[in-house]
Amino acid sequence: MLKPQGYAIIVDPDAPTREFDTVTCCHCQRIVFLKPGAVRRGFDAGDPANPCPDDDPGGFCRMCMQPTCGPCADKGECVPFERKLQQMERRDQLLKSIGV
Amino acid sequence: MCANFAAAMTRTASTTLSVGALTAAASNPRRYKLSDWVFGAGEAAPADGNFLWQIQRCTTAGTAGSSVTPQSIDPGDTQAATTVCGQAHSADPTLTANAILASIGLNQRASFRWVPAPGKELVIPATASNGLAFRTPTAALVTCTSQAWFEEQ
Repeated sequence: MLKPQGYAIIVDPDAPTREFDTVTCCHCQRIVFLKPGAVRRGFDAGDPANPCPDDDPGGFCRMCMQPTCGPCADKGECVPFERKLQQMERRDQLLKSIGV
Repeated sequence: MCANFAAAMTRTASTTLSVGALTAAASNPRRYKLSDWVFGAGEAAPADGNFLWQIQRCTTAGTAGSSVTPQSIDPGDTQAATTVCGQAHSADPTLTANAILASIGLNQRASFRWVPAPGKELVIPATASNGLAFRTPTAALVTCTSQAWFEEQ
């Protein structure tokens, strides 16, 4: 991959060492492992309901210009993870301010 | 300047209880970023066993069997008082449904490492007791270890 966003290594004494480029979903931060090759293929075993986890490379958000995971691509909306972080932190501040 | 820390969490693998959890402190929470993650069953005798490893977001710290003191990578940094690390939970953290950030199946003999590119680390909000749980939802009952490096913001 031209610009990977991470790297994964599996060392197994009974099998060759496997190495993968990874991308991180810009909407939820799920890690998607990519298979080597000219065509973008990946696996995202994070979603047990995913019917085809072995070949789901996710999608691409043209608002963020970043890759997304399969479930976020299926939603078809753009909510950057930074905004979600801010929402989580503001909710915590609100709850503290009202004594909850 | 951000401070960097390392924490190793160990337990006899459980399919229902987390190996460990790394959460923002209940008071004075700060964001942190997971910058490196290694796991495996290194303390177990070599054998075949099926392991599924996961990182899942959580909103409480749960009840840890013991706490882990994150070690600063630079001795000049102060200890991570804004993060809480626990291992061998007896009551699991409250897991956020479907917020599984990584999931990978391994043989018990294998070890795994994931390193994000700079700027692509997993981020934890500065929200009390929010964080990451390191889990083995499918596992043989052997000792396993999850080693995390993180950067306090």
